[in-house]
Amino acid sequence: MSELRWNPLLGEWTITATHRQERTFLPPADYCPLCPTQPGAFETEIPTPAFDIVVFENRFPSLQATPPAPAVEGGDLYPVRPARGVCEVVVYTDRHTTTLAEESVERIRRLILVWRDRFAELGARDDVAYVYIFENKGEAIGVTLHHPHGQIYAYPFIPPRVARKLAQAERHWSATGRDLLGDALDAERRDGRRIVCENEAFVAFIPFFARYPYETLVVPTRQVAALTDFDARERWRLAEILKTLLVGYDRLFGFSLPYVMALHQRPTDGGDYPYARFHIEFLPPHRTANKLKYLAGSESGAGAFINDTIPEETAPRLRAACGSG
Amino acid sequence: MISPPPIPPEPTLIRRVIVKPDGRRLTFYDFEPADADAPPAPAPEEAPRHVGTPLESAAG
Repeated sequence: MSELRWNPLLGEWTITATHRQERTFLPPADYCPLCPTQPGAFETEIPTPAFDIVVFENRFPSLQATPPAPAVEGGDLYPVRPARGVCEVVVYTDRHTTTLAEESVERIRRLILVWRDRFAELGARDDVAYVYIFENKGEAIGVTLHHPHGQIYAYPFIPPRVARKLAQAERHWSATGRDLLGDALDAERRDGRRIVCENEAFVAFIPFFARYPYETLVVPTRQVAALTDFDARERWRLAEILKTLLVGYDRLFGFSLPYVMALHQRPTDGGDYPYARFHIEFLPPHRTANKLKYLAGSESGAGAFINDTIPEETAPRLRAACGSG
Repeated sequence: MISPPPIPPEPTLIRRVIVKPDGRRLTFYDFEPADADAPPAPAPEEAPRHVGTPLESAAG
């Protein structure tokens, strides 16, 4: 059973997807569904003995191009809708035991080209309002497969946190004529204490308002709203800064750091979003090498984050780990 | 002032799509090394879209 159920208390959709309870959970390495299929061996999702980068529709999707009718009847208070959309898996490489941090800048650039292609194709669909590209890395985040991969959710609505950020950006644009994230970037560069690494086209920083100790934003120095708007130089510089940041994350505590990586782009619902600026958000749950930040009472129940650190102290540590001073 | 390091030519992305036995689409992305003299590839075009009633407004 799968459907969208409206939450009138928060004004947002909940996606139900009961079939996902049956999805593959931490299989042994020789039964990884994201590895290439070797002759005579277990047949994986990818029917070739080698590949570069592969994208396929998720076997256990939360959203489907042809969704079943809702299994419950909705009403004025509780509208329901089919869970229409697309869920894809992006397999970064055919090697099981690597991570994006261990890959070359060139491979990260290839991944950016694939992301751009998927954004363009999925965003052109009539039933897709927002293309969300992300990676869950590490068991602390809840991954079910260790093979390096990310995911894409093409939603039929603008997800609530994205909508809230866009509303803030629109308000700022209306009041000042400037994009909010651009102003935040300028403020961070003027201050300098929270900058982690930068190059001629991108800056990575732990924002003034960070909710997680090592939360980082990667922001372009030019106001660009989507991957399709970058030029070749910017794509390479994005790959470079991602490599630097990911290596820094792994050096920070001396192990491969779990994180959520979230790409934020303009919606694809046909609207005009002159105030949107592309950015990538990294949300690592670790606050120390052996302590995690949990979303507990204040965060889960009230939506108010408590950060046990200040970014003026965490940014220099991550900056040093990145080799940026 | 140190100038930024040079950028290697961008490879050309090649897609090969297959449909799995259960109907799911799978795309192989391969990359051809760039011709150093070639101009940069244009961005993929986003097709014009029909904008229907957004779900949010339908939900009230």
